Amino acid sequence: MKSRPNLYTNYAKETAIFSNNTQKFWFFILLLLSISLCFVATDYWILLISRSLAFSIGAWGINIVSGLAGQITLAHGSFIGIGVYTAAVLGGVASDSVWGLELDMLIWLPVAGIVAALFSFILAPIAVRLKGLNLALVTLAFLFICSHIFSNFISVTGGAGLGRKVAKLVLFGVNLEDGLLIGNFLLEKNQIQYLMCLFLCIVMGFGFKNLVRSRAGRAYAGIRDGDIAAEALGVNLFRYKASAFALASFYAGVGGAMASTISGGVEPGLFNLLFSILAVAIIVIGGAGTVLGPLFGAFFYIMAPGLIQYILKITDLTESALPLNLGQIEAMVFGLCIILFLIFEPRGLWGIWFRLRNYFKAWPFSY
Amino acid sequence: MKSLRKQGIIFFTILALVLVACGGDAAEEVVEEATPEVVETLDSPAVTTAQTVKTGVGVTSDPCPEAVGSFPTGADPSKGCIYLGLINDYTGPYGALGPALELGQRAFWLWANQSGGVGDYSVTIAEGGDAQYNPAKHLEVYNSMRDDVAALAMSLGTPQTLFILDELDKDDMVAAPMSWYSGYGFKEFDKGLVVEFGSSYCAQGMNALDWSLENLPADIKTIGIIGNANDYGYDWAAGVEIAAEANGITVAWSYLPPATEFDVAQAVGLMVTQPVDAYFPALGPTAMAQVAGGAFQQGLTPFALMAAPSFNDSFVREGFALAPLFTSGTMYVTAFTQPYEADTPGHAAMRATFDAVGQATGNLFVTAGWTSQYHLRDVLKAAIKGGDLTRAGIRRAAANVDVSSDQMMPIKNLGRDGGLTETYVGVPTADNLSGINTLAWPYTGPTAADYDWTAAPCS
Repeated sequence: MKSRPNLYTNYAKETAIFSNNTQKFWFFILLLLSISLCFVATDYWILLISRSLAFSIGAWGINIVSGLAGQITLAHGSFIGIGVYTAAVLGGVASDSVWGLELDMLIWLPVAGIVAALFSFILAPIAVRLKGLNLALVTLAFLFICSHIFSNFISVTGGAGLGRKVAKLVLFGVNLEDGLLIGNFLLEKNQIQYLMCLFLCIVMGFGFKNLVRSRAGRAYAGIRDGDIAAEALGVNLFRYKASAFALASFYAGVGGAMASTISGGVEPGLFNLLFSILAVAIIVIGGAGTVLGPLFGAFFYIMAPGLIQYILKITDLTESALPLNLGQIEAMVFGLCIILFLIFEPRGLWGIWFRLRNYFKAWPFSY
Repeated sequence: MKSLRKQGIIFFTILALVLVACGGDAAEEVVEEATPEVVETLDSPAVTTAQTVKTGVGVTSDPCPEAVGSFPTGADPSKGCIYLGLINDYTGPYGALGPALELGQRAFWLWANQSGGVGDYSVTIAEGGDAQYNPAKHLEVYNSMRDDVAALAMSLGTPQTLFILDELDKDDMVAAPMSWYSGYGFKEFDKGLVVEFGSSYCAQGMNALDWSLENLPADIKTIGIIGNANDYGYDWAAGVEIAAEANGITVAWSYLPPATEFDVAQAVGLMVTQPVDAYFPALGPTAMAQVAGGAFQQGLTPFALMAAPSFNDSFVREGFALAPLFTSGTMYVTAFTQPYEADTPGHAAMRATFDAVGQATGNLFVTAGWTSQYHLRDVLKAAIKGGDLTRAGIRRAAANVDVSSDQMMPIKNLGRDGGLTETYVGVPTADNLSGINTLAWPYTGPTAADYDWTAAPCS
């Protein structure tokens, strides 16, 4: 019985995070490889992977509210922004124009998520009464309001066109801005950021996985598949819709705060409509409603430009030989991917991964 | 029991958080690095002429490539190569300007290499990276090139450049900016890493008002300022306001919203409801045309003293509806240097280079791109003369040298805080490539002359 990986004899086993030892083994190997990567990769790749990991956290957020609970939101970028600026005020350095308290990361990181979650309660009563396109429009209005506040609340954001520096990397009172000396070995700041992103990504990823298999996760799925039916079955719509927005915003806040430490500074113009649409696009490409989808989508979004550049390089195509510049090509490829995935693979990159995995599980047999 | 345990956990968590928050870094006394007071020139004894040159990242004994993309580098195959990085915008709000700036920069090094290069080296700008005016992308592009280049030929965008300043500091990477923000004149602000060139927006703003009071055929009593809430708009507005205060002029209104919220109707509305004798715009060309055109539609043609980025030579070309307005004698342009047609050795070299490569262009951005590289060239020369062409050596050279530009700009001392004040004033014309005729250069009005440029940035 033990050798049959897909045979579950009870519900707890079926919903376990790792359903068999093989999964545990590969997870452990992947973890080791991921940790060792930051000691062998160049700064450029460390940066890209760190950003991908931080973006994944934000993408899990929108996956909760849209992928799991089925609520369309265009305000996710605003919640990321709220998290970023909360972290910047709490952990950043004050100047003549901006506030900064220089607190420890242990404070600013969770508080960034909590503040974003608190702001989401503004949307909660509306989310209960509206759905679909109407809800999307309300979240769009929320985005515009936030965008205006970000642009003009100079003490917090630095103002549009200028921005501000983000939270300092200080953990347990140790300033990590110049790296960490362990014996004779200097762990560089970007390596520390990478490891932090990796750790946070694992924690938040497990959090998401747990959420999916919990009572709340099943309630979200019920709301997504038919809110009236879910309510008839006893699901408290207000409670669960509000909690979906709050959890999504918490993820957005934490992911945004972490991502911002990598870029060094942040300008309010970033948190515009395009940014929110991008968040939706990441889960569409990655696979909405799945655990690994946002991770795949975020990696695809961050890595695609580098991949395109690499293809142009090996094919010896220079920018001057192309009718479009690199940025335009990136935007077109990304847009095209959204269309193609929606038509041919609605489960996104996760769907491809799923089929690939099943193929090799059954190999050499087709079924 | 369970509840007691929970309470305990909560209590200790809060206690830990409070302790962490209150924990100071008493042991971490910050020791300010003393800034060297002595300023050296390329000919000063302190900059020794070394027999051998120590080299570092981005400097090779192999020659530079013959071309980057389709643009020739003019590199000497018998010389080594100094590679410069380029953080440009090909998309985003400044996507249209990026290629023109890059063209000017590449043309400069083509000419510089053909004219003997820098010591035993030719210099080339590697493939540029598109930062899309996005701080995260800016850092990404920087990381993609930081291990391959000796300095940055351009880091476009003031906020973006400041956000990566710690990284530049760590790498000893000097960079030419593409902004005339007054803060770049202060080592405390840019850590001596930004090789600024030309007078600041602030100085240009002061001079724009002083010049208009001295030269315009009108009694100017009230003025308005239009711009965006960024380093460019704020710095320009600060300069105009300082000059207004010095001259007893009333600033009737100052419209400086974030770029994303700039409302042409509101700007025109201010001009209609509170008419002024002159206004001082610091905008992009599109917004400038919309504001000037909107005011013209309302029958208003006050004098306008534009900051250079507001102007585009297409304003005066045949077929542009507002060309008669821009050439009517009410619109003026200020800048940090003279336009393409000017009679200086630097301008002549620029024209000859563009003629040789068959590029018929002459707009302000191409000129800005060319001019931006002069000081970097002198910094590299100083580093070679000092025998240290590592990044640290280049940084040291950047902090201790006088730089020139074949008379395109006055000689600048990179070792001292402050900045140049000399400003160009011109009037739009359809008669030449740049679209501007010179009225004054180098102009420094009384306000800029009396201002203490060593105190602090204007904004």
